[in-house]
Amino acid sequence: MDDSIEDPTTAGRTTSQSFKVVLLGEGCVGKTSLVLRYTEDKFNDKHVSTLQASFVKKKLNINRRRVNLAIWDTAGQERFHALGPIYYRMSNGAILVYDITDEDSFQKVKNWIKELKKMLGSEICLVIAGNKIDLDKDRTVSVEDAENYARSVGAVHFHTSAKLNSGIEEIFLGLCRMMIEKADKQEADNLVTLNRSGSTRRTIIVDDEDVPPSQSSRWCCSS
Amino acid sequence: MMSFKKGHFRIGEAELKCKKGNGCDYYGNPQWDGFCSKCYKDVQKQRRINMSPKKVQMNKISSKQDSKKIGLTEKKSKLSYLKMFNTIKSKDEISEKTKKDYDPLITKQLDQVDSEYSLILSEPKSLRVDLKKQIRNFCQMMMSHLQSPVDIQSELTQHFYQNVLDMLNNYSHEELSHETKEQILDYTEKYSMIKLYKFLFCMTLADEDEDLGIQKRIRQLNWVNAKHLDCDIDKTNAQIIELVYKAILELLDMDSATAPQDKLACVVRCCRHIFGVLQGGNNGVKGPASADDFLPVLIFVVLKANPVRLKSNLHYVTRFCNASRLMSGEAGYYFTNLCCAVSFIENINAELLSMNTEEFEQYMSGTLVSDTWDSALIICEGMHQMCEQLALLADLKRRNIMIVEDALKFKKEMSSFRENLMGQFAVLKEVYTIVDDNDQIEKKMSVSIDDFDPLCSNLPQWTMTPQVVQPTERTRTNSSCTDGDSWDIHSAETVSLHSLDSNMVPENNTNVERILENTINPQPHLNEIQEISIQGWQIPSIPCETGGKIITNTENNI
Repeated sequence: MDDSIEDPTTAGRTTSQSFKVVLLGEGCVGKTSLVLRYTEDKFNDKHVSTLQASFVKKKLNINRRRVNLAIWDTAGQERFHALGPIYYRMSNGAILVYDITDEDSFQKVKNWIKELKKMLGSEICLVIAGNKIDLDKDRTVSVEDAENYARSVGAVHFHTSAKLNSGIEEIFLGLCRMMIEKADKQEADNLVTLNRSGSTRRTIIVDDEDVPPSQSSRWCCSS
Repeated sequence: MMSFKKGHFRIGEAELKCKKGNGCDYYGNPQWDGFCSKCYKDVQKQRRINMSPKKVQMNKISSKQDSKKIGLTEKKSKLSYLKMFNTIKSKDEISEKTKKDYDPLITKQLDQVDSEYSLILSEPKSLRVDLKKQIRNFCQMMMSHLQSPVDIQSELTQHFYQNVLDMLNNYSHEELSHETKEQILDYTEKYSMIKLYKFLFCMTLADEDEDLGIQKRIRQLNWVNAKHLDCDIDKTNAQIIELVYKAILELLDMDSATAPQDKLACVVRCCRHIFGVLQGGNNGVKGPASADDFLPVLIFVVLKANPVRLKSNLHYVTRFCNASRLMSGEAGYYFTNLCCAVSFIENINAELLSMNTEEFEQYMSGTLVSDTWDSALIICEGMHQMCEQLALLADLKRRNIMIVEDALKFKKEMSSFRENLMGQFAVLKEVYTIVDDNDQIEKKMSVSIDDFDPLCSNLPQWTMTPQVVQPTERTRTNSSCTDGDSWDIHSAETVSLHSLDSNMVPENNTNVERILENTINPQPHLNEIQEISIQGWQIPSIPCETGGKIITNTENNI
């Protein structure tokens, strides 16, 4: 069933691609400000996004390909931790945000990643954002630790600051590139399986169900 | 459908014979309503004579009424059936349902959808035809899959959406814009789901159980207030309270919407109000609300709204809404949040509300009570529940009245149909007597003779043999017959002739006595005259060939 849902988002849109990105991270690490900074650079303050920053859409052009990003903010409080799987179901990418001055928030990121890997395997592209680099003097999470960890789980690490507007464009762009790459690979894989048997057979079945019954019944009735 | 077809192949020879049955050994033909050609011609003739246009109309109405009646009772039986066995349905019932017309309400909704999207659909005509065909096929297919597990139904639905999307992508006649495609997909989804709503929504016992479970759970949690959830709601601000109520109402509205996207639209409106609440929280100075603020308020709203059939609604949307809509897009996001809220409520415990277990238990058992505003909200919820029940009762009442009305109408129609039938029957009787029923004619003949001249029955029996009468005598009697006022002539013949044309005059008592005495004498002549007079006034109304018959019949009888 998961496959059938995956198809319309990737295969259906050949001209433009749509990706769902979830923002994960503890409360108060700056997920919302990150998104706001990213979207408000393009749009003015009167835009609807100022009303709420929990769901944001963004259109990008990367290598002459149109990409629609849907960024889903999640509630980061500890009490809502268990709801994570509902949020990141079917998402293409995840941005995990931690506060470089808060060791705990980095620990949370590790938990999230463990969970994500368990639930979605390698289907999801991961980026880790060490936010609030403007407070570098209070840093408790070392750069080395963070980058090593990121490498170990196949994620890319960025340093960001919503306040100074640094590293934000890069993190979203980087994630998009990763997702496009993954989607292309998936499409190629699909083509291979299609040539073997899998999907072709399925479409034929659908055709069978759709068209012939009406014809055959018509013949029966008239004769 | 299938069973219907099968039935056609098993026909005995008796059924193939002419429908007229007795005496007719020819085979019938469906084109001729199951009659053989000869009988069909007869029947057609009869019909042309008998069927007045009024009766045709009447027939139509009554049959329409009948089918409506059947639909109603069937629905009723379906309901009770569902209550007992829920997912199990007989094959017959399903096939009946597919054939059955949809509710007038649903038809109305469908028409609305049609008109709503008429602009997009009107443009490419061939596309519209294709689309309608696809939708029809899909609905038929779903009807045959009513017994299948919901997962399969859901998968079929998603495949259908995908098929339509493929069709639009490969549409060769003209390039469709992205918006048009979206709208056509919207239309497809809305139309087919409204059509199938009755069969897809809340169809399993499990769904119903879950609904009741969550409702009970929320009622138990009615003491949970904004503080417990850490939400930022300004209770003193009337505007914000208003917004909370609006959000609650929108959430309650979700149950009354039928199409998945309409349900989603309710959720979206509810969430917009919540963002309003969050904005107004600090007189609008607060920045854009994040999910951290949003989710607690949504949970609060769900708790206070306690919508009916909440779980069924969520399941219905997840299963039958276009998956791409749920995966991306604002509505999908809000819906996901709603799912999260419900999941949170299901798993709520002391820890999640950051209070100790003891306090939580006390609240749950009702020993601790919440403050006034929360009580007000509880009452509000109770009111909504009551409204819901009242609406249900009103609906039941309306249906009951409808049934009674229909029954009365049906009764009236039956009686008028009976009257009509009797009238038709009477007409038919007359037609039959004239056309070919010999016995009837004979009876009528004898009756009319009696009516005309009571004296005839008094006449002695006399075998009828051709009589040779003198031409001169005949003309004389005939002439006297025509000028019937000549009472002074007291010959027996003329008097008896008089008696044929008019009843006896009471003043002439003596005359009558004499007539009675004399009638016996001129027997041969009298009978001859009688014969002539019968023919004289009866012939014009009798068809030629039957006229001859009458004579021979009377001859035999006498």
